[in-house]
This record gives sequence, C-alpha cells and structure tokens, in this order.
Amino acid sequence: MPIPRDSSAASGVGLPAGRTSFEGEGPEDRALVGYVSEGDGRALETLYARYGKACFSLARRILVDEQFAQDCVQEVFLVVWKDASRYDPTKGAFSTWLLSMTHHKAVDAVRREETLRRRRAGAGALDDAVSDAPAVDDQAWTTLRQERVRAVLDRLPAPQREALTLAYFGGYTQREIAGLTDTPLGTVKTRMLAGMARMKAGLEGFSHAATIETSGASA
Amino acid sequence: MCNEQFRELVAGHALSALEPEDEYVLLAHLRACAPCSRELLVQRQALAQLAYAVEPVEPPASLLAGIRVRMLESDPDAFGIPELTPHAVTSRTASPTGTTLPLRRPPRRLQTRAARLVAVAACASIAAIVGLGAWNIALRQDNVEQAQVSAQFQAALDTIKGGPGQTVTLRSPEGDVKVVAVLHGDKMDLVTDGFQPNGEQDRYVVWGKTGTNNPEPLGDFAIDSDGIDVVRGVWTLGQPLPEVLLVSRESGSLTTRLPVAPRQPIYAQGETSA
Repeated sequence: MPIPRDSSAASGVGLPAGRTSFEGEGPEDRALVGYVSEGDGRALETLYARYGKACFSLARRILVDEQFAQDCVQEVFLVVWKDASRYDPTKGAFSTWLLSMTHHKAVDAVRREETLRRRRAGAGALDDAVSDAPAVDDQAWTTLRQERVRAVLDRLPAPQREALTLAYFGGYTQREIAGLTDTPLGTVKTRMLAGMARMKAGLEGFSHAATIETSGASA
Repeated sequence: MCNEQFRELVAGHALSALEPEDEYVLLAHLRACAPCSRELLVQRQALAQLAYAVEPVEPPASLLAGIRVRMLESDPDAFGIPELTPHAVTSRTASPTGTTLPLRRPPRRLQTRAARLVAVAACASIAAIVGLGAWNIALRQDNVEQAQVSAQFQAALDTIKGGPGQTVTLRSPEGDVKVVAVLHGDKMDLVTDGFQPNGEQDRYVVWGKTGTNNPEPLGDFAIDSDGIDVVRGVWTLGQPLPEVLLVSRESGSLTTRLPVAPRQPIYAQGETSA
C-alpha cells in the first residue's frame, strides 16, 4: 500500500507553504534517472543540482578532507551516469539509494586511507555553526528537516546515539566501536539495533513516499 | 522477521559497520530472506534522513566540473547537440510541479560524424565559459573501446589457461568482473582488471572461505599499473578447495606476514563451485 505523500500530520511538524512532502518529488527523480540511462547528461546535472549538496555534505562530514569528499561524490554520480539502471524504484527513493551509496563509498574511503583516521564522530560534532545566510524557502525547509532529524537523535539514549554516530559518521565497525567505548561487542550490536529501531520510529512519516513492493523484493 | 542475530546484522550492515566476515554471512542470508531484505530497505530510508543532520556545505564548482569531464570522456554526446532553432525546444510532459524536464538529445543513429564534432565543439565552448580551461576530449566510440578491453582480458586469460583447470570469476559488490582466477590443480593464477596500483604500505590479499568459517589468507600480490594484470601465483591451495575466494586490500608489504583476517572491505569475491 503506498505511503501517503503528505506526511505532515504524522510528522507533527508544519511543512513550508507549497510543499507536500519533505522529500524531492519521487516520480520526477525516476524520470530523470530514466533519461540518464539513455545518456542525457543534463538529466544527471539536474539530479546533481538536487542532491549534490547533500551528498557532498555527508561525504565531507565522514571524510573531513574536502578533496576526498569530492572524489567520493564524483564516483557516486559517475556510477549513476554509467549505470543508472542499478537504481530500482521498487526498493525506495532515488535519494535514499544515492545517499546510501555516498555513505558506503565514504566509509570505504575512510577505512582505506590512513590519512583520514582523524574522524569527528561524537554527537557534539553535529553542532556545527549555523549559517548566517538569510533563510529562503528551500533553505528553511532544509533547516526544518535538519532540526527534526537532530531532535530524533537527541532523544536516543546516549549509548545508542554514540553507537550510531560512531558508525554512521565515523565509519567505525562494530568491533572498533567496542574497542573505542570499552564495551562488549554484543552490547554494541544490541545498542545499534535498538538505536536504529528508535530512530526509525522517530522518523516515521518523514521518509519518502516510495512504495516498497510487498511481493518480496530482495536486496 | 528473523532472529536477533540477523536483525543485529541488518542494522550493522545498514550502517556499514559490519566486519567483513559478518558482511558475508548477512549477504548470504539476505539472498534467501525477504523480510530481512525489506527491513534493510526500511533502515536505509531512515538513515538517508540522518544524512541531512549534518550542516549542509556547498560543494566547490570543481566537483561538478570534474563530473562533467568524466561524463564527456565516456560519452562525448553526453550533453547532446545544442538547439539552434528558436522555439523548437520540446519538453517532456511537465512534472506535477510544472518543472520542464531536460531537453532530450537526438537518437545516436541520426548523428553524423560532423554532428558529433559540432557537439564536441559546443561542449568545449561550454567548458571554456565555466572556466574549465584547456581540456582534452577523447573521441572514441564506446563499443570499440569495450571490445578492445574485452579482447585484452581474454588474451591475458589465454596466456595462463593452457591445459585443464577451473576458472573462478570474482566480482565487485557492484557486480563488475574484477578477477578471474585460474586454478591448475593446487596452484592459482589471476587476471585482474581495474585494480588500483597499491603502494609499498599495502597489498592485495586473496582469501579462501568455506561455510561459516572465517576467511583464511591464501596469498598476496601487488598491482603496479592500471588496467589488466596477470599475476602468476605460487599459492598452494589446500584440499578441499575453499567454497569462496575473496580479495581485499590490506595494509602491510609483500614481505610481511599475511594478515589473519580481512580488515578492509572485500573488493571482489566469487564461488568456486559456480
């Protein structure tokens, strides 16, 4: 059953005027991906305009180094360019696929490059300076989403939040997190599972209105 | 949903936080478990929101410029032929927001060589405008290049195949063929494709894995150039043959002891019984 696109009631947060969801328009993304698969470079540039900033921000947060972050995002968009058919709309929104790929490549890079071992992964590291630029519609919407996600993270018990942020933003494995936090590996795994469940519940209604087939789509 | 162990592995995998051996166990499980696969998708959706928790940073102009260059290297027609006739622009059916979708490029079969050169010249002009400076556009046909690469790979494979033996194809997580291993009795040679040259501080390691046992190192090798490489190994494979061969890039030189477990992501893997 399709998830309703207008999730404002479920989220409890008001949406800016003119917006019916917090996510980019799903069908248009899919159409653009279709054009990319046919070799239309401008379709890819449109997708880059839409998601390039989010991808770069995430990659830079994980990798810290700007050049490595550029390389990572460049790789991601080239994967889309060379094989857009890898995106399966039945498995979720394009933005989810793109950001997952960005995260995966950034984490691979940070584990591969010894020079990137300086990682900022504490929860406090999310509290970067807020931009002084005047808020415009899109920026207000972005800020709203950022605040909502941070609020959900803040509500997690500290050990769960620590496990998630060390993994997601720091690129640490479960075993490395166990070593860093002097916690048994089993406990780290349990905290990750519990933290993910809480975060999922907290962001319910916030996710993209993508239909996941119930006929048993596999990963 | 499956038991707690697999649910924990799903969460760890969504966070890219699993050790390679756990990753392998989970990926095998996901092939047969629709509920876990579905849960993974749901968790990835939630994590995609987490990406927006970071402070947004405007990417430098050089990032898009670099992407454009790479796109044009793979396809000089990436940005089509500029529309020369006023009011002849057609657009796809407008999206619900009224945004006009990108101009479609003409089908390849209608393009003459002259038209392709015009396209290349137009792209070069665009590049100059956005301040990319001098750049080279390789005019090559994708299908010819691909045929040449395939022929090179096959030629490399032929040099080591000679005689009866088993070949094992190892693929990247994205499904690309990265290695073909040729097994002659208890010896193994490799043909690799697209491996980045490693430095003196790291090397590629071949692992063998059977069942739920941890991967065991079989040997290591170095790559010193891009493209296709032939690696003649002196590894002696134990009996029975491992069920799965894996390759990762680990720290340490060829003269140091082999690592006891993969520390880095698996670069490519393949089943010996496939």
